[in-house]
Parts: sequence; C-alpha cells; structure tokens
Amino acid sequence: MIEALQYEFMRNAVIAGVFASLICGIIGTFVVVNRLVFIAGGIAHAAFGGIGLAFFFGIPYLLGTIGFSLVASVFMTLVLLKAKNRADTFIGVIWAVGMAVGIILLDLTPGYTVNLMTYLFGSILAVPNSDLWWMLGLGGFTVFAAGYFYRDLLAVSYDDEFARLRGGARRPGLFSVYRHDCRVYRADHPGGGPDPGHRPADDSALYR
Amino acid sequence: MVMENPVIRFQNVAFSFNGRPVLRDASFDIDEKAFLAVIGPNGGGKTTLLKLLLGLLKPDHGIIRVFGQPPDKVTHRIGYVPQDVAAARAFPISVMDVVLMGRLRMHGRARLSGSDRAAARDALEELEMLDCGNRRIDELSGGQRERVFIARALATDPDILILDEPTTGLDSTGRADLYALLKKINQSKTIVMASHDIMVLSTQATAVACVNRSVHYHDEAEITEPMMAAAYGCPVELVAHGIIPHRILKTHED
Repeated sequence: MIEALQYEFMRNAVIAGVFASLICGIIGTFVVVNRLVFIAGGIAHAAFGGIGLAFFFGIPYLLGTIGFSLVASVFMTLVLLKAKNRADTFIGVIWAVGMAVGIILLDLTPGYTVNLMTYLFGSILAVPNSDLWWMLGLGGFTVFAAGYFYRDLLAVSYDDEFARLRGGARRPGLFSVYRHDCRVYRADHPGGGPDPGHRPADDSALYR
Repeated sequence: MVMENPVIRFQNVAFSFNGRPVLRDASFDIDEKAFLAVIGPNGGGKTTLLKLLLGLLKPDHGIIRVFGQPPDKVTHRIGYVPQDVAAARAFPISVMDVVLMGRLRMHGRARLSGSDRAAARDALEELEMLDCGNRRIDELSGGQRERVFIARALATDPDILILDEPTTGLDSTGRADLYALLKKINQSKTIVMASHDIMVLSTQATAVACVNRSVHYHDEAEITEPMMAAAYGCPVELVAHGIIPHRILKTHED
C-alpha cells in the first residue's frame, strides 16, 4: 500500500482525491439542501458540449468546458428565476443539447479517434501536476468563500425571501447575486461530473 | 382618517396578479404602535397586502409609504413572520441559526459579532425558547416553530412587526399565549397581523382591515357582520357569555 506512493501518479491520485472530496463535500451540501441535484447534473453533462467545442476549434479543453458550463449555468439560473415551475424542462433540454453538441463536434473533428467515454468518465490515476494546482486554487477559494459567506449562504438556502428582506435595504441585488454565484459555482463542480477529480481529457493519454 | 405622520400609508393601491385583480383602491393610514388585524377569506388578498407593505411586491397603481419612504427602502425596520416558511420542510438548521438569520448583514458585514449572538439569545429568551436553541427546527411543534420565527423577526430589532397568519395550527391556548405575547411586543412596536381568527379582534387589535379584493378599513376594533361573513364565508351570529370580552357591533357603512 505504502510502496504505491513511490509513483507520482499514485501520489497525485491521493492528493486529487482529498481535494475533490473537500470541494465536493462543501458544494454538494449546498446542492442537496437547495434541491439542485438535477441542475447540477444538467450543467455537468452540458459541459460535454464544451469539450466538443474545444476540440473542434483547437482551444484548451479547460477553457471550453468552463466557458460552456458557465454559459449553461447562467441560462439555467435565468430560467429558474423567471419560470421556476418549468425549470426542470429547460434543464433537461440543456442537458441533452449540451451532450449532443459535444458528440457531434467531436465526431466532426478531423483525426479524432479517442473513445467518447474517456471524456465522460476520467481516471483519477491520470491527474497531472498542473490539475493539482487548479484544484488547490479552487479548493482554497471554495473553503474560504463558504466559510466567510456561510451566514449568507445559509440564509438564502433556508428562506430566500427573508434573506432578501434583510439584505434588500442596503445592498439591493446582493442576495440574488450570491444565489446566482453559488448556483453557477456549485453546478460547475458537482459530485459526479467533470470536476477536477475526473478531469477527462488527460485520460486520453492512457489510450495513446 | 388622515393622520399627521402615519407609520404606514396606503393611497389608492391596486395590485393584480397575472391580469387578475387581487386588490383595488386600498387606502388607509396606520398610526404608530397600532395593532392592525387584517382579516378576510382565503384568496382575498391578505398576504398580498402584507407583501406590498414589505416591498416584496410592487403595486400597479397607488402609493405605499412606510415611515414616509417606499417600503423597499426601510425593510431593515420591518420584522416579518411569513405564513409558511418554505423551510418548514426538512432542513438541517438549528433554532439558533434560524434566529441568527435576523441579524444577517445587520452591520453590513458577512460575519456575526458577539452582539449579534446576544441579540438572538435575547429574542429567544423573550419567546421562552432559549432552551431549544440547539435543537433542529424540524423537531419542534408548530407552536414552538412559530415562536422561533417571531424571535427571528424580533432579532432584527424592528419598529414594525408583520405576521402572516401566525395562529394557523395553534389551539386556543396556543393562540391566547401568542396574543398575550403580541400585546407585550405591541407596547413598543407597531403590529400588522393577518389572521382568520376573530379572537384577535376581541383581545387587542386597535384597527381592522377587512380584505376581500377591496379593503374596508376600520380604525376601531369592532366586529361587524360583514367582517364575520368575510372571515367565515357566511353570516355568523355572535355569542358572548359573561366574562368573555366582547365589543358592541355596528353595521357596515356600505
């Protein structure tokens, strides 16, 4: 067991696992108490469209997925705020469209041969050093933000009308922004999707 | 009915929801340290009236002033006890954390100070709920939970306390306790309370608003036949024995 840690990829896997559990543990708690599991899943899978875009246009996959899932989450949040009872329909649509765009674009990319599944389900054993720095940054930000804004996040999660009344007088819009930010942020790093622990693109290295 | 400096002023306020009129032409003034009972049938617009007062809804027509300002400028001076906190649903939060929500951003900071915690403890103490501070909100009975939400509103140190049907689910003892408590609070704060319960009129209301699309404002807590009809949905004969406090009725003007 201990000998396995001689290998860099094993050390990276352990560190990545710890960081991922920190991030997902915090974000996941807010996702569950706010009953946002479907929106989290929707954005995670829609992010696949970002991978397709990134490969098709030859830009870094990280930019593609983050950009695409940010756009998807902004759109979902707008739908959620405007037409709450129809939100699930839109989330389902974005989920399907995002994945479909990803599959089509990957298929259209010349010379692309890697199995699609390797992008959806990565391997923790393939996490490179550069991703560990990403995870350290995101994890640090998550712990700090959740700790510092804990009272605001708790209030918005429990009773957003009351939170709005408390925040409304001095800082109009503050809480809708919080709400929005934490949705976007949570949704970008859901427990099971393309979070840093499952960073998919590097997995392709195993198949080359 | 025009007062010098009313705490709350409604002038010809109208509000409709998806094209369906909910309130029309509501005009009244509420004096400082008044106890306004808002009564009326389900769907009559009681909650809408309170939400207009809180600035959560904007009127289609007319003017609402609280302390002479638009309601959304003075939300920090209003304590609100909602009808059903969405979160009566299971949510892992302690009683103390709920009450601490009342101190949220009190001084513009994200972190709570020691004085915030002291204020939350005082509010729980006043409601005789301090012993339950560490319990989870969903373990409490309906009456206890109502007290916690009142404590949360009081923790904001408001000048006006707004309650939306706080007596729902309380038995008559629970209601009497709540009214005794509100009477105490009323000594220093203006109270606006929506209720189905006529009992509040006989105990301490100083003014009554009958809300059923239109608003009939009475600046004395009298019970009229239309009020009873509005609250119960049919004409009701009033019966009062011996020591039960009762009021002389007079007929509705229109």
